[in-house]
Amino acid sequence: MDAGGSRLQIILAILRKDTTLLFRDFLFVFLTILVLVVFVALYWVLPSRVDETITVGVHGAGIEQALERMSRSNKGALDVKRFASSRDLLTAVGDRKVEAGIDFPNNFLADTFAGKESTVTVLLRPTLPPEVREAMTTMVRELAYAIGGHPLPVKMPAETTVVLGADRSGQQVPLRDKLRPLYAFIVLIMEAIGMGGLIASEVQNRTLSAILATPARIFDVLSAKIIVGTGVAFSEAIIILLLVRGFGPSPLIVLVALLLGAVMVTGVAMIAGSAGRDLVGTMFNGMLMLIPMAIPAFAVLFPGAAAPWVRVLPSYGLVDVMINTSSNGAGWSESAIPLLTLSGWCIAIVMIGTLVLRRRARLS
Amino acid sequence: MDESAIKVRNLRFSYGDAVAVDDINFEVDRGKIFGFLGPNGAGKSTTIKLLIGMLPLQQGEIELLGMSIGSQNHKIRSRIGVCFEEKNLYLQMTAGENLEFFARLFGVRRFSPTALLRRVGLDERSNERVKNYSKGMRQRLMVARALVNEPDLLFLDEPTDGLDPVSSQAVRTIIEEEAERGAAVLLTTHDMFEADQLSDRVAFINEGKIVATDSPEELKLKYGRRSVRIKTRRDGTIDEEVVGLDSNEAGDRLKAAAANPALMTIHTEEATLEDIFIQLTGRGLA
Repeated sequence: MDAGGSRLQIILAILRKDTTLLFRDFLFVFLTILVLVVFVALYWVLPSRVDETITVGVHGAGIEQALERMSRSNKGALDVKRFASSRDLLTAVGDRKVEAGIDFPNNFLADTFAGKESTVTVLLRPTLPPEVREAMTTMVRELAYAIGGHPLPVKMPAETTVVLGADRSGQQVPLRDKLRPLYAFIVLIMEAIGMGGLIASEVQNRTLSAILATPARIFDVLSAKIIVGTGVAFSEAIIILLLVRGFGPSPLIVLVALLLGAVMVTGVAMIAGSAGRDLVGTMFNGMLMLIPMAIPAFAVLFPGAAAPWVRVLPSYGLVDVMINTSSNGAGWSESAIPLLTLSGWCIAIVMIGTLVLRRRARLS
Repeated sequence: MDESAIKVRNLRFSYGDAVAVDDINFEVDRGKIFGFLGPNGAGKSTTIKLLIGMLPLQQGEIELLGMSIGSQNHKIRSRIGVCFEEKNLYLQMTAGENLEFFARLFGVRRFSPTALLRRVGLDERSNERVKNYSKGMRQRLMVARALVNEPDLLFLDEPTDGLDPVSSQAVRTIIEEEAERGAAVLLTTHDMFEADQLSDRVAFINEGKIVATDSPEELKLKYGRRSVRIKTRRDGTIDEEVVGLDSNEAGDRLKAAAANPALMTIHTEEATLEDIFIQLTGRGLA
């Protein structure tokens, strides 16, 4: 019998074995396919555009021309629907057929021409955001001035309006696109749990001891685990982003971010797998670390900037790069700092994972 | 070539304050089977872990196949085979895949698991996943795995644990064949019959110390009593008498027994290794 193998042959043997075992784990394969199918279906089911039009119901006599002018000047943003009576308008607002309603009194036109004050009722749904409520009030004032023939007291010339960054007016990022980082991150989490389970069973069943009683070193085992974990997570994330068109105009930047994300979750898998007593324990440990890491992916779903503490989470760089490149057209210069921060976290997490697994191997 | 496959000198190891191995010394020659006997927690597993380099050396020296443990661990490991007490196999892989994986780790080229699986009687189920194997089948696969690299040194920890008598005998035959091939075998077992049958030399370990080392025959001569047990039947009742062979009247007693028409049987009374262990340590092996 001819014997004698190189480090590379040993790493390749462990790599091949780990890949075989990972894809023979029925639960892992089932969840991976399920996540892929559900996310892709969800992406294609969700609307591809954000409807920015506000539908306003109006009741009032003699204001048709003024309303027509207003509709024309706000085309795409305002859809005015006329109602025959105050009761019809009230019912339409209650039934959510319109976002808001403006009920002009019957003598509104005459009183306005005569310079008398009159009361206009604005009907709002309780869930209406404050900015729309404010818009309704402004609209009433504008209508009053338009009907009365007086100009608005405040002039807002177009040349003073400055948009910082890409002007996305009328092209808001739809929810399905905002969900892309979350899809990618959940796929990475799935892979981390699968890998963590594999590591936990290796430690618990003491197969790691059997490997270490051969010429294989702990370095070989760790190298193979990192390569398999990162490779599988990276591949899955690429597949999901291809299916949901998540690479945007800078695919290379997204690929680098995904690769770093895959390395990071592999580090988490090493920590969770070393600490877990079984698959359930591994899942618990993994979730304990990965759920906080998913927060940045959830944060982008809501308007406004992320809280400062969200920005220090290890996964923030990944989500930041993905959303800014695919939706806002960010390039290498804008992505450099989040990518560097993400790299730093990757190194730290993989180092901790390596130390924990090495220690566990020695104790087993 | 040095005949010693294992040389252990003043080996000591402790987990914190608890001393697991306390200044032990022994040697095992190539082609010989060395029985390492002791109760649970006596220090057997720690000694094996030290021997295969899975625990760091704290004190003492270990030389395997002429190489020092500590500095040449990886070279040594390519020439050893280990059968662990735990059935640490990959359950989701087939028997053949398990053996092929370990053969690759040892860098064994042109490896075919069939012959090895045939040796342990598993060749017909080589393509079945190990999770479907019985405890005994897994144990036989463990033995086969320890042999993938044709080791010069075999560490076998309870290799017949959970096996039926026929399978146990098959594994014992393999152990003897490996020794005949020239491999040194370090065997730990609770089965005193097995240790007695297989071992060229045995060591008793208790509370981390080796209390006796010799061939089973020498130990029996040294610590056992030379005697015969005579059974006679008189009026339906059976009487037993033990006659010490070293006593002055032994010859006359044996002659008288042989002439007695009521004689049923005469058996030599040989001490077992377990009797000797109890005699030396005051405790059993279980």
